[in-house]
Amino acid sequence: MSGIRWIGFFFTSLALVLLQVLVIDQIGISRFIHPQIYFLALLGLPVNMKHWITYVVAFALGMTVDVFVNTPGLHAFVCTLMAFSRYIYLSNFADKDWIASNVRPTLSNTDVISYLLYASIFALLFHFFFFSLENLSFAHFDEILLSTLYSSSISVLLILLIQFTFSPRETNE
Amino acid sequence: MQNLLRFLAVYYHFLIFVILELLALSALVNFNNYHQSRYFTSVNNITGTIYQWQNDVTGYFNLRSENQILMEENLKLRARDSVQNFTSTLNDSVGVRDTSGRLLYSYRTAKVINNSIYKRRNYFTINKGTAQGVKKNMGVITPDGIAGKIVDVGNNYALAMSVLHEEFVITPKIGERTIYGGMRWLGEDPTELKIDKVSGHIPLASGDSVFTTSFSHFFPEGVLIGTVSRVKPTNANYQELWVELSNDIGQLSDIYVVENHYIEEILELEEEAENERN
Repeated sequence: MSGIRWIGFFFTSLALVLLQVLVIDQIGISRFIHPQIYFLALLGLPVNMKHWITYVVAFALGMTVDVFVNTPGLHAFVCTLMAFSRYIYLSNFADKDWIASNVRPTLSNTDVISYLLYASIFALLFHFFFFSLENLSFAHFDEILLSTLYSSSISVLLILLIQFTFSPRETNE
Repeated sequence: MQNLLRFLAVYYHFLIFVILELLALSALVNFNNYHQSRYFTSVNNITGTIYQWQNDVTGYFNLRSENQILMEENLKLRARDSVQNFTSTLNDSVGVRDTSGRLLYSYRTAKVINNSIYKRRNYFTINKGTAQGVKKNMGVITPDGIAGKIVDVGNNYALAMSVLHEEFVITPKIGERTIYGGMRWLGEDPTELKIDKVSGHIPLASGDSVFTTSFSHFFPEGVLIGTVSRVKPTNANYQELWVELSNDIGQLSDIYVVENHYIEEILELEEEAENERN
């Protein structure tokens, strides 16, 4: 990413984090529903970015959220783990066109079906890691699965909504 | 050496990943055990200020109910004959003295600016810190009952462990009888606490009021916790007890921070006794 892209990324992430902690986290509907949407910032990183950079970015992003919600290390751990899973996913399962064109995976840069698949997989992974680690045990495994399912569904809906609203079609780098 | 360098050149991506994960994990474990990371929680000046801004906006939404609570509390205070026992010590704090005139507890007002009730370990942030005299191990109460205790303090903000936290344990009393066994939150219903093993011979009925004892040094004796909602005998010797919190933790707004002036001495003595026993 060029310098100007990094600045753009910084402000997008900041906006997503604030949206997460000031709006979405304040809506307490049920203990099973904690949708996280800020990891959208990680989903949109260019696919060919050096993966150690994505780990550092993910760690920093997660730690920023942690500072707000008083769980130092929890979001940082899950985000870094997600960046790693994303690397595995992109190098093994992703659309070959994505890699060839070094696309930034957003709704407008890809087709709807493969983006939906991509976003859903990582929403599920993120929430599963998140709730498992928050509990620090699998003692309430049924609750972890329920929370993951409910929260991921809402999270994917919100992510699509944000993408429809804010994501302009852009030329690839 | 050469081999090591070659190894690093190939696997440095993965190494960075592992190092970051270990860092995150150690931060998580340390925080849950010691709560000493004031730069990594919402009590630092940046996040505290952002939450304060948010609260400046959303604070208007519940003014009506806040007013109602304040009026009811005024009424209660006016009706109480012990009002003379309150002595003003600082500009914005009120103290309570014992019969020999020693200052036991001081109260400060503060506002909750960030709160959660649906996690396993819930905390809330208040808008006063060391600069305003708030210290670790102070209790947090409202006119309705107990709310939590301070675990981490920044310059202008402080972090409190909510009663809705699996490590928050309190010994209550019903009437004049202390109920041993440790009351805690189960991580499910944010309105209910539970005691697992209460001696079977203690007569309990739903509707009984539950208060703090002097055992929990963070709170003065006799602060309301809630009312007994259910009692279930487990076997001939024990019964289980559920207590419905009198405080709506999700709606915390204006709170009092209670300072026990002897808490350091008490905790020190207890620690010494503990060490001698081991």
